[in-house]
Amino acid sequence: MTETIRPQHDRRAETPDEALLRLMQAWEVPIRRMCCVYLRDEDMARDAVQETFLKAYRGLSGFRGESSERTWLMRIAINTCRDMRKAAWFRFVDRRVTLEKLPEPVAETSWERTDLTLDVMKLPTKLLDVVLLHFYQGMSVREVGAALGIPYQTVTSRLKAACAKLRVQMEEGGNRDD
Amino acid sequence: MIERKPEDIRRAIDGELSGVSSDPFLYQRVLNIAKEPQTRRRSRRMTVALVVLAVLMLSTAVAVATNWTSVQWFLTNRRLTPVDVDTAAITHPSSQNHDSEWLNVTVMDAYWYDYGDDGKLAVTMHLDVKDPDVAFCLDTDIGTDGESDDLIWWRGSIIPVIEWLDGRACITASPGSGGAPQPALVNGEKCLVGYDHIQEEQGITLILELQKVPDLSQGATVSIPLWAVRRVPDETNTWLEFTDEQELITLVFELPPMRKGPPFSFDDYE
Repeated sequence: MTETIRPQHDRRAETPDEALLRLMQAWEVPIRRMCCVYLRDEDMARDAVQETFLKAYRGLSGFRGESSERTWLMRIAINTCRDMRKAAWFRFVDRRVTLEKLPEPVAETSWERTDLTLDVMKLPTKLLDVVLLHFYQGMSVREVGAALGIPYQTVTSRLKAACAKLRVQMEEGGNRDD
Repeated sequence: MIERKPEDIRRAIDGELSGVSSDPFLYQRVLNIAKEPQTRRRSRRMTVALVVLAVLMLSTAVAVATNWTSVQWFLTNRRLTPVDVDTAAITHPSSQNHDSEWLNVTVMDAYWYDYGDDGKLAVTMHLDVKDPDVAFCLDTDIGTDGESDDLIWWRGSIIPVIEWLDGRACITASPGSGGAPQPALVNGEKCLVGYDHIQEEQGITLILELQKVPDLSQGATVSIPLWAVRRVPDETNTWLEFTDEQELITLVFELPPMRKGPPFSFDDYE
């Protein structure tokens, strides 16, 4: 997955509405799918995506480009999902939704992939964060650290723990660090 | 055991959630919400903090108000000679409010203290006359020479008795006026009752002194009879008490386990 980043020298003045549309076109689907896995509920994920882009729209003027737009958006999305999970009613609702409650996949899935998605959804929050950002969104370890506000060494150790739980073989060299 | 590859995770999630696609109306919804006139949203923490602050302020105001009107203030500031009492020994009874046809009576505080070989129990209470056109007459006994100087309490202020005379009725209350005086009961034991009032700034507040009370360290059930009598001055400005117009209010309340404080006596005043 490659990020569409508007180069600084090529960035023409765009209105906030245009910037919002561009960000949505680039990132809505991956953010929505990530929120589905995080929250295990499509309705809540829809709310989380809306809230994410609403915060992004309101924060456009304050975005100074110190991180990439992808990192910035993912940080907002993860924090939004965390806030929704912390809501009191959420704790009392059984969110052990199965895959059957999610939309039907278009492509046929193998038994192994179905099992893997469920395993990912069962991860503790701290491990789920890094797995979704690193393996699903394709962000580097440093980008994941920037998005979550934690040192990259912490990201690495959490990735190792997550891989052990998921029985995923770590990439050669341990992780991508670019 | 099948070893998974990292890219398996992305493929698995994308595969399972490929039915999750973009929302064609999301863009417009976000813009609609963003461009609504924003009311300032407080965070939940700020809301909780404001509620806690409001509760604290209200509690403080209530504590200050009740402290001002309670016997704790009275026992330490009566007249010009402060009385040394152990304020921690002052307790609050249950069932504080008692109503009769003429009066609302609120039992405020109780103080148990040594007196010679016996113990005494001082109980303070507020009285309010229900009829705004009727005054309350406080029998006073200022000084040791028996000088009497009645006080008329009417609509929140003291007025001279001379202004109240000329046929106007008032109510007086005490544990022994009218009818046959009845003793108070403390855990079923009879106790004689004396009474006095407090400074006029406190409103109509009586302090009843129960004598030779039993041990109160385990708490007590107290029953105090209070007689309310209607008075009218005659042509010589002498009070006439209409003993056929009286009512008995029995104040029954529970006291928690108490401990004795230092002695406190009406005779200590100058």
